[in-house]
Amino acid sequence: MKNKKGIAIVIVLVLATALLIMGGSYWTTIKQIRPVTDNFLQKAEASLLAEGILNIAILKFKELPSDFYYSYYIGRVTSNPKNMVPLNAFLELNTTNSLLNGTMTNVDGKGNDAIYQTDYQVLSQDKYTNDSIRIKVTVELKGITRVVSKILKLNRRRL
Amino acid sequence: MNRTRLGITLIEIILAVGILAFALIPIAGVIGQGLKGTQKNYRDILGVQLIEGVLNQAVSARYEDIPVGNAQVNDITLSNGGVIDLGSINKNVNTYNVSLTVREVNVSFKYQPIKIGESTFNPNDTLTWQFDVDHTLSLDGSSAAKARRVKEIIAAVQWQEPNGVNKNYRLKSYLARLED
Repeated sequence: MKNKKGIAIVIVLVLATALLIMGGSYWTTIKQIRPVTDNFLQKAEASLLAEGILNIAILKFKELPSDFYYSYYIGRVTSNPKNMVPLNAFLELNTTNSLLNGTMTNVDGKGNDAIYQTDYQVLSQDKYTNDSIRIKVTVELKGITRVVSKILKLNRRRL
Repeated sequence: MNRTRLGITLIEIILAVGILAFALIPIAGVIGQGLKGTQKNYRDILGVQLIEGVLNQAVSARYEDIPVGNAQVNDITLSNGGVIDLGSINKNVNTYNVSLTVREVNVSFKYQPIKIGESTFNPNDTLTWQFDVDHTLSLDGSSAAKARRVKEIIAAVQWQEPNGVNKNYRLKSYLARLED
């Protein structure tokens, strides 16, 4: 019975240590919440930028459909001979201030640049009258990647 | 007399409770900080959600539905019957001020047109296809045919934190005139 003296302090010290450990792990968890909020903002930023660029890409196709079809055909369909230059021009690769392929600073002028890419793909053709075209925009922002795509179903007619 | 010396004494209990109470002080502080942090993040996420929703509505709307202007705070009624809520919005005892800044922007599209006028051109024979140098279609409002067809839309949200600090977020997107 004698060696039971002082056991309360031992128990309390163990409990206090356990509480401190729990408090420490809770503090660590709380500190991680902030990056989650930042991620939430960046995901929204990337998604909305991708939607906007997709709108512009659709507008470009709408304005220049023949130029797209010829450059796409010689760049990706035929091999007799293949020529990527017109399609690369249409996709505005390596073009300064392009709204289809390039980089854009944050709306507040701070933070990381968004890197965005646009691509067009002819999914199906039916006797050159009905087409399905997929336009895909990829935005990378601070390690977050967002892909937005839309499929257009088109009727071609000679003007 | 020996029986009273066995087991847990009152002094031990008092000492133990004191140590426990001392250990609980910083833990209570951490929990309080955590709660404040969670509430702050909740306010942030609500703010981002508000402008994300507003901007999603705006970039899906008809081109003419979204008026040009700085820091617009009046609700926008869309032709599909929907409404974009702007101005003061109360959420969870906080008041958020949501606004839209819209401006038409110039865009340039680069392309290489095919030389259809060439005498050797045969649409069925790619060996006869010749492409011109880079051309640029500028939609800059310089003529009716080149009317601006892209709007840059910036949605902003601003609110006041309980400590009086103003916070704000902004998101940007584009709307193009796709209607005939």
